[in-house]
Amino acid sequence: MALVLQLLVAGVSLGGIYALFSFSFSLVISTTMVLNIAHGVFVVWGAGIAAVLLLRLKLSPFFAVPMVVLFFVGFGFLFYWGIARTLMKRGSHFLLSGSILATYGLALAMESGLGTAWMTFVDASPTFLLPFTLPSLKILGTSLSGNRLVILCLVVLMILGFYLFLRKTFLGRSARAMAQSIDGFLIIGLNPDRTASLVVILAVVVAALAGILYILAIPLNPFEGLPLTLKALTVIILAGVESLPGILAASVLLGLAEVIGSYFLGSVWAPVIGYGILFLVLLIRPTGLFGKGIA
Amino acid sequence: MRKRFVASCLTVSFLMITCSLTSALWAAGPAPKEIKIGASLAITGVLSKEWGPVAVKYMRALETLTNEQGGLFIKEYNQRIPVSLILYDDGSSPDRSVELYEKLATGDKVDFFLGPAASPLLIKASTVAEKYEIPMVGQEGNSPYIYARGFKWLVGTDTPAPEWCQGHHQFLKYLMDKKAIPTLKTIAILYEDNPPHRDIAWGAEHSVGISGTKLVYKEAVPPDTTDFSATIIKLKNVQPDVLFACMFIGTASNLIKQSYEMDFKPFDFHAPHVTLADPSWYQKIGGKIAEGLTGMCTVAPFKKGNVKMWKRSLEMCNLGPFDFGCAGSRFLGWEVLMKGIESAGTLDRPKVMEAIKKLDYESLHGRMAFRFNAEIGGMKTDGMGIKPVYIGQWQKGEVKTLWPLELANGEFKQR
Amino acid sequence: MREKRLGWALVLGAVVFLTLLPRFLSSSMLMVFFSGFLWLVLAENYDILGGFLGYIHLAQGTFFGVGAYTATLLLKLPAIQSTGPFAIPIVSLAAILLTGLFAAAISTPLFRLRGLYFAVATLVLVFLLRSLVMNLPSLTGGTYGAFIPRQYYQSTLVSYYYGLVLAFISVGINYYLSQNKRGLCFIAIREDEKVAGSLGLNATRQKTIAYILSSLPSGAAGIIFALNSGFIDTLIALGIERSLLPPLMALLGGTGLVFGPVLGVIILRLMDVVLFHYVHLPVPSMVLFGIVLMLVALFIPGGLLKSHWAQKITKGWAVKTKGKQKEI
Repeated sequence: MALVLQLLVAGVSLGGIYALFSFSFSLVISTTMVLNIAHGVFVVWGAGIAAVLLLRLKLSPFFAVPMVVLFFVGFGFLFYWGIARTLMKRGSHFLLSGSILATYGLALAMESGLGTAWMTFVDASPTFLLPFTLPSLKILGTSLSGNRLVILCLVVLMILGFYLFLRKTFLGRSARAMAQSIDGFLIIGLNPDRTASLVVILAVVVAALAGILYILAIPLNPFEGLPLTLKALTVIILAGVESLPGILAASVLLGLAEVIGSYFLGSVWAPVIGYGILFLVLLIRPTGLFGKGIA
Repeated sequence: MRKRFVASCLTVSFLMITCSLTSALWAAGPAPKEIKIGASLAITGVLSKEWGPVAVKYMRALETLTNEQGGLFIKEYNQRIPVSLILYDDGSSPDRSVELYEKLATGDKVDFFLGPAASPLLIKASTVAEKYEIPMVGQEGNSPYIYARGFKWLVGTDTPAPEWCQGHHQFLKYLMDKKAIPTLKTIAILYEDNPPHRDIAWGAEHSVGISGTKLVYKEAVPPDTTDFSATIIKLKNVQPDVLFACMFIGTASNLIKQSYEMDFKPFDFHAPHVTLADPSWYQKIGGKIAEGLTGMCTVAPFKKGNVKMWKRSLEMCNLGPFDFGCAGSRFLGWEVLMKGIESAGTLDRPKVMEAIKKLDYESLHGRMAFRFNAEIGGMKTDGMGIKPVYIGQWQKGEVKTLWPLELANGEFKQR
Repeated sequence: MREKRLGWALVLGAVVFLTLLPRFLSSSMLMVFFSGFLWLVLAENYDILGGFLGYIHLAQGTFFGVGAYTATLLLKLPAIQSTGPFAIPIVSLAAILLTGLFAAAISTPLFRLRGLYFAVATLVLVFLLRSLVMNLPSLTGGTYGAFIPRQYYQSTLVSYYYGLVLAFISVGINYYLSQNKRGLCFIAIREDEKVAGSLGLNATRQKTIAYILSSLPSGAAGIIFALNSGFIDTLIALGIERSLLPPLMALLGGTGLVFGPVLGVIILRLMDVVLFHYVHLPVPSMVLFGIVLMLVALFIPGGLLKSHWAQKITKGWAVKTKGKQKEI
């Protein structure tokens, strides 16, 4: 029983973290059709900037977090108008290949830029980690990580927030409309640029915030952005893009599968499990386990 | 249609010609009156987080210090000749480092090589050294299999990876004999699945006889693992007295944090990389978690050897001793090369290589010499050094050196 | 027809030029050209799938890796070594064959997918293969890698020529496809797979053929690389750049065009050499590299050879594949 509980919390909390940045990733795709390879790098930048503000400049979280948000609002704006908008003017084949090329270039530039900037101005070791540790929860004869439980709660809150956003707010509903049918969207007379740009900015900010939560549990370095994007891609393909609860479920499933697989087969097989599941799902049910898939 | 084809061929050929001509022109270069030493470094790319721009600064400082007196005294010319260091950024790519070392050999026409960062690059770059018969002093990249190829133009100054944990077993035995700690019985080994850490783990396993402990758990984890939950659960079932966590600092940080959160507390949590570099790591991970962790250091409060130059090299770069983890082996590598050249009294490469191989002097770490035909990590190696490792422990925000005793400035405190 | 003969003369001229070039090259530039040829092979092979067939294939490096590993591991066997001078030809044949078989086996599940899903599946394949190779150390040497026995090392000069021949063959294959009915079949699949099927085209068969075709020279490139390198491991032979850069090169220069990948390779190699061999920047070269990629992608879709001014300068360029890309 203790074993099951530990594996469960471990797997679910891991999945929760994946869900956060996977969902923002899917938001960008569903509104702009741009496959943003640099998404994981946004997460890492969020973590890095927060680390500098909180640890180096010793700002209080009440200042630091809004500063990060502000920065990424500006950044998201530039990203939409500079990159996404330019790519969106093209046909689907060039959109896909162009977005891969452009965002890969962006990712390379951003991760090297962050790495070198940190090593030149901050310290020689670009590790982003936040030292806030909460006591562990002792329950049913086993210890569960307090940090992970808190992260899990925050993640659930954010996802609930998203759910309400998509269902209840005007912007959220416009975003869904846009994803479902661009023609219908235009016919109603809504402004695609306005909707898409706001959604992309939101997605970018959420990615940065996910980065901050991430480093409460796990350290990041500037070069971990691309593997994170791959994780996000894995999750949304498993889940299907439009489905938010699907993304949460898929992330958790992935987290659980990796943890359980590690336990019984040994850690070296964990990546194989993750990729193997993805491969199988792609072959059997490409639209994802829950959703309607990417158009 | 056909015209387009012709036009395209023309343009492509034109581009090719321009490129090759410019490169051929650029390839020729003058040869000034100085001792040229060439190396590539991982200034950018995935390995740059352990080397990066700091490595360049440090190497330049060594160059400046050597040239302060006018350079090295070369008996053959009866004068001092300054040293000139030529550095390139290999972007952490083994292929590119080979291209750059080729350029250093035939383009810049350097006299000697210093090695690049890390094993995968050293193993490929050393083939260039062997091909052109240019002495290369490797500084990092301490896996025995690099030195088990019968190469004649490579030596390495870093402590061989299998010997990293030997010192810790000796230290534990010392503590147990002194009755400073209870008798420890079992150890567990976790290692990151890449060559240096497999070797370190090999060493940890094969040295159990020294401390009289028994291995009860050994597991490899994929590189850059972020989640150790499953492993920690298994470790809690086994309850080892000592855990050897042979992994890079990022991965080790994950393990340490999660162990703390899941209440896994072996008597001695030994992670070699955590006391190697990054003095701000204690703050980053949180004092409560870091306190009492033991690890490996490449530096200590040195008493022998050229301590003055060591201290000045760090001062010139505004570095504390733990800021740049490779400083220790880079200093030693530089010193070996300089001493080898001066000892040979000439810039003739075979003679300098011989002189380097025969070196036997007192460095910061005590006696420094290279071993040949030595069995290390289960392989027959040539050219690995005898630099010892130092055991350190995080105590109240500082790394205290605990072993060897002559250089210790602290005592073991239980976590 | 005179133009055609002129065109052939130019190509021949380029080949002769490249054959004589090593005499004037420094050893590091020799390496740069040699690896350039290998990249060209990968990029041209990629374009069979990406340009002609219209499938974005992010696993070109797996063919390279399979070729390299097969050759290296076979050369360690005493049975092979005892054949003396025949060792390398035997091993090369075996490795190329194995690469083709691998491609055939993988293509069946892969081609059930299209577009983004296909791309992601191929990317996942790269990581899967890497993990498998790393986790089977008794077979592959795992993370320690594998050494080629010393007697089989090939000097960079020899490898240069092998690379040149292979690059020529790869460009030739793409040229052949651009002139030939087979290529037209691929393009038809790219334009509209369903319609092509209704015209009597066996899409599955064509796709498999394209996939196997695209794998063979890439596998051979892996063999040549291994013989020159002397040592391979999962980073060197199965690194992600070997799968991500060929599509970038093809897209940069002009996808779907025979000489598009050539231009892409030249530009990227040039940037690489300039930024890492010569210029010492205060800003890391990777940042510039990334920014240039991004700018090209944003402002020159389809690649440089297809851009407006390139077309204007030469009134339409390299052998173009017919048909525009599909608009939504």
